[in-house]
Amino acid sequence: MKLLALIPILFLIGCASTTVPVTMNFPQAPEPLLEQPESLEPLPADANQVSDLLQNSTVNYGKYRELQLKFEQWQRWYKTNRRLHEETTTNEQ
Amino acid sequence: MWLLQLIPTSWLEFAAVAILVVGVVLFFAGQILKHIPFFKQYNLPMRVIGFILLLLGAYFNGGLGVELEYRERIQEMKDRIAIMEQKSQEENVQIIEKIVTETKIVQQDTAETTYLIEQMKEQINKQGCELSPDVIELYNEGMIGRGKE
Repeated sequence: MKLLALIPILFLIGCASTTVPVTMNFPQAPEPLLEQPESLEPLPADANQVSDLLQNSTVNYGKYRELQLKFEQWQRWYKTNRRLHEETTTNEQ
Repeated sequence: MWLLQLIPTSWLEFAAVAILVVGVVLFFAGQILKHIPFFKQYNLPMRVIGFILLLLGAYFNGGLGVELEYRERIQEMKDRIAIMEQKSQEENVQIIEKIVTETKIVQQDTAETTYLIEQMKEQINKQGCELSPDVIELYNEGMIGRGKE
């Protein structure tokens, strides 16, 4: 009958041996944000007018603005996914 | 314990209680029936098997409560993750739309400005300021850096 004392012990061991097998995938970033950035266009050696310089600057400013836009969207993506991650895991016990 | 994840909850509950009840019945039946001649020979195996089942039943019943609680939490976590993934996907769609729309605007702006420069070329160059090779080189170095790729 003394062996019956093992019953509550086994009951408690059974209580303590469970793990939670839930994993979260890393969020996928949008494809346009993963593209290689375009290089700036150098001024051709045969360009000798101010208008050539202006043309070249305008094209390069355009490329900068495109990159600026993508950079801002990267920040937006990061902030949103960080907030979502926190909302998902904060109340986890 | 992870194997328990594969078994339906109702089966687990039934099995845990059944093992415990059979164990109790066998163990105490062995105790009670040991004085009856016919059952006397089965007394020891009944008590041993009953005791083992009793232990297993206690272990399973202990684990079952936690297992059910964890199942509930796992489901809750999976639901949250699904919502998070959906929201993240929606955000990605919005980001792509914004990039596509605003990139078009930027490219249109650039095209319009370069068109205007082309139209005003003579007027712009009228001042007679010519770019020397040194100016071009300096300008390019400022843009791509002095490392020269």
